[in-house]
Amino acid sequence: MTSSSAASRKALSKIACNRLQKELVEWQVSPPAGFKHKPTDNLQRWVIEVNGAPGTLYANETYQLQVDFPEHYPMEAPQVIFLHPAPLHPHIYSNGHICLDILYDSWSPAMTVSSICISILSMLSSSTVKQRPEDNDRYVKNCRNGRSPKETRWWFHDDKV
Amino acid sequence: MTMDATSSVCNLAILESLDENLIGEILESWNGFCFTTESLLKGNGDLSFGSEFESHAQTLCKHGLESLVQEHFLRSLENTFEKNGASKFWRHFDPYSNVAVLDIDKDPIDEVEVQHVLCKALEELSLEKEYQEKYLLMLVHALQSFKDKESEGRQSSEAERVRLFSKYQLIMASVLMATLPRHFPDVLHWYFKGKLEELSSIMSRVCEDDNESQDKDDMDLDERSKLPCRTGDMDIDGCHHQRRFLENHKLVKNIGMVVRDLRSLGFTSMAEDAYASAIFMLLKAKVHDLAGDDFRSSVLESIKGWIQAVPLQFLYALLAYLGDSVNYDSPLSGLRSPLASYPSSCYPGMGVPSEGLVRWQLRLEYFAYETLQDLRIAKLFEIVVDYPDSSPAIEDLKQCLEYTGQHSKLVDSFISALRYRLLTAGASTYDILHQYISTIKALRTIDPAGIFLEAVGEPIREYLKGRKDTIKCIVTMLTDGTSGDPNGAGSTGDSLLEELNREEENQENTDDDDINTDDKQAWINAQRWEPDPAEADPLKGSRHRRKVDILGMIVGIIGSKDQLVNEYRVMLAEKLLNKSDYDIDSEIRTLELLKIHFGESSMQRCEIMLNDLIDSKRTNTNIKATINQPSQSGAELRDQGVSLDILNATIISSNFWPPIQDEALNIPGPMEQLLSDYGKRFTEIKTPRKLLWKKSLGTVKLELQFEDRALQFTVTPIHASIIMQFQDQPSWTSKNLAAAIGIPVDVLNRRIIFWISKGILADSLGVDTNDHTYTMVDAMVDAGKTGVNSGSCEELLVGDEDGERSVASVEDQLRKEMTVYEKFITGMLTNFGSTALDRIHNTLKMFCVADPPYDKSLQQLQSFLSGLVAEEKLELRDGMYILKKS
Amino acid sequence: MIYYLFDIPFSLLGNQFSLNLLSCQLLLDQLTEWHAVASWTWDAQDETCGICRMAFDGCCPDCKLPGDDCPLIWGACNHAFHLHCILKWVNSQTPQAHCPMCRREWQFKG
Repeated sequence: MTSSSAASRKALSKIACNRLQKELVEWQVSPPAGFKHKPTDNLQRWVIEVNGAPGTLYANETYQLQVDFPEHYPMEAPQVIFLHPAPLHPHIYSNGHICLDILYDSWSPAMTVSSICISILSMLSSSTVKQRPEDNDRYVKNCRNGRSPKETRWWFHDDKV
Repeated sequence: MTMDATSSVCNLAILESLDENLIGEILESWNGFCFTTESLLKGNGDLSFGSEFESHAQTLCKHGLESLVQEHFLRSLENTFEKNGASKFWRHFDPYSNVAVLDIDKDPIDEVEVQHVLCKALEELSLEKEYQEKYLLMLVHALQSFKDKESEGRQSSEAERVRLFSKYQLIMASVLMATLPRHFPDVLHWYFKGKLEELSSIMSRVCEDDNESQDKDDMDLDERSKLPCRTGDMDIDGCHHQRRFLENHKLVKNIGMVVRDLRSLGFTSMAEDAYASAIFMLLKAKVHDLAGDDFRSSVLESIKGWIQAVPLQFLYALLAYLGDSVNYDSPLSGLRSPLASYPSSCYPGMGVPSEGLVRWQLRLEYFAYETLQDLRIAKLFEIVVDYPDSSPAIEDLKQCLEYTGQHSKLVDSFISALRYRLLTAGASTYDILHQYISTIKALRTIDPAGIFLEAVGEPIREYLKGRKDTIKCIVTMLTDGTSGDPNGAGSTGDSLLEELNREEENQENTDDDDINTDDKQAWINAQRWEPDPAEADPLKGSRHRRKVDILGMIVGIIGSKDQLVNEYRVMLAEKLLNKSDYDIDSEIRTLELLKIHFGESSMQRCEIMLNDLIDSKRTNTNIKATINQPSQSGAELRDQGVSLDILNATIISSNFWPPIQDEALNIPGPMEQLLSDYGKRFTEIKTPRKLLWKKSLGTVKLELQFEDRALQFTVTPIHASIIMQFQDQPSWTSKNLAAAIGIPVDVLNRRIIFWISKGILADSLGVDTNDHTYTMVDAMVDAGKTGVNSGSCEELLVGDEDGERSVASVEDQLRKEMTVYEKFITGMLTNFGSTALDRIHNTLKMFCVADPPYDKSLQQLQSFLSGLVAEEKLELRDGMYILKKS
Repeated sequence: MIYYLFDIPFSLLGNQFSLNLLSCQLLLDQLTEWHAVASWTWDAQDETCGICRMAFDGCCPDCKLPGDDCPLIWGACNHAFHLHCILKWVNSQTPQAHCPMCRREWQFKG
């Protein structure tokens, strides 16, 4: 289900550790609306429950995000995917990969798990149609060997959704 | 008995063949025999009936009545002994029959009299016995000569004699035993006690004389060097003399005679018990006498010496006199004690000691060890108080315990002494800690493994955990040698940490041949370094471990080193903020020591605090050297006589300091201006950094000029601001003054007490009872008198007495610090629902590991949570915390 | 009378005794030293570094001592970071790094 790169990743650096601890505390103090961090003792992989925003296509639906942090977080973006089943969305592949620029080229170290979650929720909320991306089957087939979405060269479909 | 039975059967067979003449002869002889026996025994040595007795006996034997003769004679002896010997003997001791149950202390026994009575009684009884034995011998002779005539084998005659005598011995002993009064063993005990005491004092005189004569007598040296004994033992020669002296002494002869008499009367074991108990009693008294309440010298050796010199010498002489010193008590010789080869069993000048003597020595030494041990254990509390002066007593106790193995006695007794004497409300925390540390130091000698120490320390630790000031006292003791103990007792000006460290260094230095005086030398040493040899002194390792133990056991009271470090940080902050110079040498030294013990990372924040002081000093110099006094205000300031020279600043990195209690304060305008100039210059140098003044903190030195003297004060900025308000206006109401200084009225009223107590200001109630009026005392200008500065400037420091602290106490700090986690905890409870205390604790521990890291104990968390429950933010149901629904 | 009184140690004098001040002007020149306490702070808009999320007045996770040893640096866009943090980011981005806060091209403020 999850990529093999997650298994081979290196332990968090001191900076990453520090930063994630702070993020977790901040999250506990004020979690982003609609999200729930499932408590684990693993700082390097967070599993987050997403509730579709009311009044949107995904209202009353619950999905799970899996966030894996690289050694040099926040200089590198975390790997964020939906666990099965992934929501039906033009930018979300059936294997859970998400086509969202801030997770890849547009990552900035000032971003946080919280801000990523808010971006993903807004992406879901602004969708007008529940469907897979056009190239879903081809992409998913290419990723069968457990490739990380971060190894994909993305071109971003549109900025509206 | 069987023998008697068979002989009576024989008699019956003979009876049938008897004619009347014979019967008449036998009856006549029997009557004659009975009569002469009676006369003999009554006669007190009168042997005139001897030949008649003999012929009657022989006649009876001729008729085969030998056993009857013996039987009758022995029975008569027994009756006579009982009547004349035993009852008379016991009657001697009748006066003592009640004394045994009386209190001996109240009604002391006249020992000389006892000795006299016992000797006399024994003499009498022995005489009686001697007579009886003489009569017995006559019977033996009679029987013997009869047998000779019958020309039976001579060989059996000797055996017959022995048989009769031992039978007599048995009869006599059983008579004595059967009639033994209960107090007789006591009488024996008193006798031996008296004699031994006499002997002991004679021996100590002999010893003294010997020592004196040795000092003077050079001839003795040659003789001494010939002795095949241990060299270096000054007692050897003395013992040798004593032995010879004792052997010939009439006292020993006297005792020996009594023992021999007692033995011959069948009191062998009773006599031994009596002199044994007397010896033990004397030994006990000697141990008590030698040990006493002086813990500053070791007494074990002198006790052992005394055992050698008195009781063992006595026993040796006694056993020698009795003639059984070599093979004394042989039935038990197979049961040689495994301790018999103990190296201290050395008998100078005695040659090879007998088995019995070795066993005596072991018994006496064990008894002495046990007695001394009990004595020291009972006084262990005082001994620990006196430690390290009392270390000889500790060393003695250690040896005793190694011998007896009764460590548990020590633990039980010491714990109850601690509970009763130390762990009470009356004892200060410092006292308890000092005693705890002394206990550790003292007991680790006895118990290097720390097993008993653990048990003994437990109640102290538990007790200290319940005291609020424990951590504070511990930190003070550890880091501050000068004021560690407010009573000043035992304060050497050295912190405990220094002491622990010195101990360690001494340990290291003894390993090195040379002392590292400089880096070069250290480098040479480093190059020469070799790993410890495998067979390195095991003591070294254990001592190294011990050092860690002390600190570890102290930290163990607190629970975690983090709490200790935190308390230290608060105290350090307080100290640094009250410094008027930048001298932190001793703090740096302490920090280095703490780093060794607690690790660098634990001390990181303290290190930054000290570094701030170092940086402040540099920056302060730099700023003052490069500042351009703003020209406009410069002239003005100089007019007021305030120059930048008087201003120094400590600049802190507040993120790394404990929360600082900064109160608002309006300081005098010119000072305000100085601070602002200083801050501007700082920003210029350190751009883009700026300063935030904590105006209520710091120290101010000022001088008040009076008529003929100047008084100097070192005060807080608040005190300085208060008094300086009076230069413009000699009288203020508290409300106005508080407003002018910018502090609350109650703070002002509290702080101004300092000036009132110094007689500088006077307090009078104004119209409004809530408003005080403060007036400069006699502020009248008296320009006519020119004050003469007496030169006696007093430096008056504002003490901490009004409890004003610039740094938040650990409790306040805890509350503040926990508030950071409050949101986290409510978030957690929102997510988890109801949660148990330890789950909250563990979650906080897991996730809050950085800035500020969650380092609180379960108890601290619990008290914080119960605060939240009290504030009705949380609820506690069945041990689970839940959010209170509002 | 007064001279006699002054032979008594000062501490024994209560306020019932009169101490004549030479002048009611308690002068500032009688101040011999004022040792003040201040804390320093970076003159930045934010309190924490956007990259490591540590306080500016503290130091970045790689440093031990705050202040001179772990300075702040401003970008042309006026965003401040710990020098060590932004350097790590800039060096990891080729060819051109953007400001983590505003995504403008990163230029060190001159």
